[in-house]
Amino acid sequence: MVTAGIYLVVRMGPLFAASPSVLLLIGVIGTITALIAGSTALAQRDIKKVLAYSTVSQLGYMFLGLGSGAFAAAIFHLTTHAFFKALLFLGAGSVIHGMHEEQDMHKMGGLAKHMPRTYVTFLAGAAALSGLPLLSGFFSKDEILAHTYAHGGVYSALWILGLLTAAMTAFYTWRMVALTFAGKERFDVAKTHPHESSAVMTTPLMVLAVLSVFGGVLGLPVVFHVPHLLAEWLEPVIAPAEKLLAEHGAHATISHNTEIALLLLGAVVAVTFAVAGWNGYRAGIAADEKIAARQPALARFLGDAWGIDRAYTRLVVQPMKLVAFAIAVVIDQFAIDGLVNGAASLTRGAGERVRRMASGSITSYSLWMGAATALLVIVVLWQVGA
Amino acid sequence: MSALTLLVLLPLAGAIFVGLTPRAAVSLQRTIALLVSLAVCGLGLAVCIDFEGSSAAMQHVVDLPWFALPGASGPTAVHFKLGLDGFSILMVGLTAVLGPIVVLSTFGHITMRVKEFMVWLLVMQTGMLGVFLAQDLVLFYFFWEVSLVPLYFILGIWGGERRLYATVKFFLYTVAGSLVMMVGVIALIYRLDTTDIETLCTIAGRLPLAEQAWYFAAFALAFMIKVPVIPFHTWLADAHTEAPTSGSVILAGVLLKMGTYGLLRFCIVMFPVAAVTYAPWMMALGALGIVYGALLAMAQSDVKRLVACSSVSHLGYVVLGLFALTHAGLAGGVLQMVNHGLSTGLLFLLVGMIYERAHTRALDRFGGIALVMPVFALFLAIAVLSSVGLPGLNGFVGEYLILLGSFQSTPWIAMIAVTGVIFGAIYLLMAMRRMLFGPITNSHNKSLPDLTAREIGLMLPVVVLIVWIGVAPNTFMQRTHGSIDALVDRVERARAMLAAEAAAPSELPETAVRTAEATER
Repeated sequence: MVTAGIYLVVRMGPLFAASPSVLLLIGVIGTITALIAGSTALAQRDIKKVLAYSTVSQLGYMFLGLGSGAFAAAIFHLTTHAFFKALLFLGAGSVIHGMHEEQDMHKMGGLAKHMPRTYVTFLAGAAALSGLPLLSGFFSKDEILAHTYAHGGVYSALWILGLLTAAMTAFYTWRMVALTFAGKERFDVAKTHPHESSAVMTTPLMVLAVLSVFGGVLGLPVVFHVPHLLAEWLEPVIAPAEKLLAEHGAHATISHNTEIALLLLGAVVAVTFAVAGWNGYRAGIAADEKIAARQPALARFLGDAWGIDRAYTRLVVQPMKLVAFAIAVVIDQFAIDGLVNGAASLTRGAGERVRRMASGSITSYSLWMGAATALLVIVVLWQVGA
Repeated sequence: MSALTLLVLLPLAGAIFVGLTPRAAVSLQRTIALLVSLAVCGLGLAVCIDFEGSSAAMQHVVDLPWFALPGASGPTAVHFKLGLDGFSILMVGLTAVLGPIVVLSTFGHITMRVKEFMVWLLVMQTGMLGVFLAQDLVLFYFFWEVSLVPLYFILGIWGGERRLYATVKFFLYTVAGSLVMMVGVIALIYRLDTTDIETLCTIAGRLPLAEQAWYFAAFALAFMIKVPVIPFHTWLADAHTEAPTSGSVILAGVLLKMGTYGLLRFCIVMFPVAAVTYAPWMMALGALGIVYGALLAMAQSDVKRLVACSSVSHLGYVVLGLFALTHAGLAGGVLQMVNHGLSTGLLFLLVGMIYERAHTRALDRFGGIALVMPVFALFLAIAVLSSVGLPGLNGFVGEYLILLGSFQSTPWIAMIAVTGVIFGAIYLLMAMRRMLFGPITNSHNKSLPDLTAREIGLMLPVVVLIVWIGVAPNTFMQRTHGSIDALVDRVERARAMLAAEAAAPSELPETAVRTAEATER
């Protein structure tokens, strides 16, 4: 569902391709999204929050791809991401189910032996997400980064940030795997009784695991000298946009050697940080506690997703509530109804005065009569005189 | 007797019958009222189905001489003239359908002075149907005032704690508008020597802007108070909050539409030149109303008041769409009148039902109602989503057409109006969440009984219509096309006339009239 935006941009490709500055904007927003969400995922304790922020981060990637004019690559990553993220979410569901609705990874650990099928399939998903060589996520992510690199200019900065995000992705993915499945149980095994889920839950995991591992064949890089299946299939949809891109020279290509170098660089980054994440958390939550103790501000900042929710509350929600209150009380009740009720009491007040004049006293009536007659006489005389 | 005469007089006859029953025979009174309203519903629907939508002409016309008004150039004949066209058909259908629903809903909450209530309810139906069908200006004004009186009593006798304040406020507000309109009606009749609305439309449309502007203003004020367009809206929240459920349903469902219908039938159709000139202001007021009403609703803690404020917002859409003066905007505005009647009517019914059980309407006294009243929760969710404009339900079709139509006419106003979609979602979904979901925070709510068969039954037709309009709006909209096409042409001629006036102000109005006539031919 969340990928509808990617689909929309690809569908309306020619419109976006016609404006390089909009494409750059899309790329910048995508990169920022990928970076913020990726760094947030580093500091989450809830297993589903890691996956949720990871999804946001991967969507940022796809937008970086769109911004680089790599429409096919964005769809490719969308597809592989669907495989492995569905797998990871279902796997997380299986874990949560087995742990009796526990979602905090700090209270998990050592689940590999309790839930072997979930563990193995989760490994496949994690490997694909982190972009370990030759798995589906590796190829799709590399294709996006290669396109970004090929653009040069401002896009070089985006490429570096993209690579940084790839490193984070590998790290938080394996941190999650380690915290959940490795090490000792950080809960009372006798009490909780973690158990493997039934076949109804594990069979879809296995299917998705196969797709996550081999999904990359849909779009192998040019250096493999095999057709890019997805790009060929999408050709009729994407061709008009690509033609436009080529016209204003935004459709850059890179040499085979550069591509191989980029593939190797991607592989090295992914493996290095995956290992770092795994090693850092294999033994338990000590690393998290160390960061929380040494850099409490940073831990809180990342754990809070850069304070974006708080900023929304402060900048949008609260001002709007204030405006609504002001409208309801100050303008509606005080100003408008003040006028309405004021008109009513003015009428009532005037009526009250007039009523008092009708007092039934002959003396006061004759006084008024005399005054009015005098006034009339003056007016008439004045008129005649004029 | 022709169908339309029967349609208008049937509720009145029913009222007389109910009035003749002994005071204690409550179930007899209820039965008569229900049967009569069902008959009106059947007849009304039959008339609406037997209607040629591609034509702009009045159909099922009844025309009987009534009395003569003395005038400067001989007497002016006033007729009892009724007719149905693309602008009135949906409103007549809505009034007919809501009739039995409202009568059924009173079984729950009107237990005191049932006879009088039913009499007023039926009289009001005559008044409302008359307003939508009248094709004579004097007759229209007659029905307009007739429909005002019953609500005065319904509010004042069966209302809540502050009913007297609300009643007087409602009455004075509305009467102030009506009187200004009466001045306009009298002036117009003496200026043009006819009371026939169709004839008036032809002649009045050719008056120069300077004259049309005054008539437009006199009529528009009355209608804007009725709608209500801000800043004339403060009577609405009080009236709705204090009215009994059935009163709120009638008020939101039909009575407010008399305002938007009047804006369309008189301010736009009869005075197109003035309408074209002042359309940007009316659209701006509409868009402002959308946002203002939504923010107002957001700040309410009483759920009934919240729904009332949402009416201000939703009717802002209608005003915006109508004064966009494009085909899409007009079609959307006409359809949205029905949509608002259905969704807001349903919301008021539901608020009434929960109030009958929980005896409170404060949002913070609820929570977790879905756990004890799942059927109620389902209906409330449908009503809220329809009101928010979820695709597949009725609100979406109307809102979309209105936003499209107003964007075609004035993009920046449409941009303001679009934010109302978000605000609408915020306050309605927030209210729904606070009522239905989460834990049950108020222990009194633990044993609330769910809806009864009667309550479900009376709401079902509304739900069916909500889905029907959402999925196949053409069943309804095709019946309005002829009239809307004709009006769009009329607006174009008015623009041409304005351009001519601007080009040669000294030759006015003969040239302009000739231009208009030439275009007509």
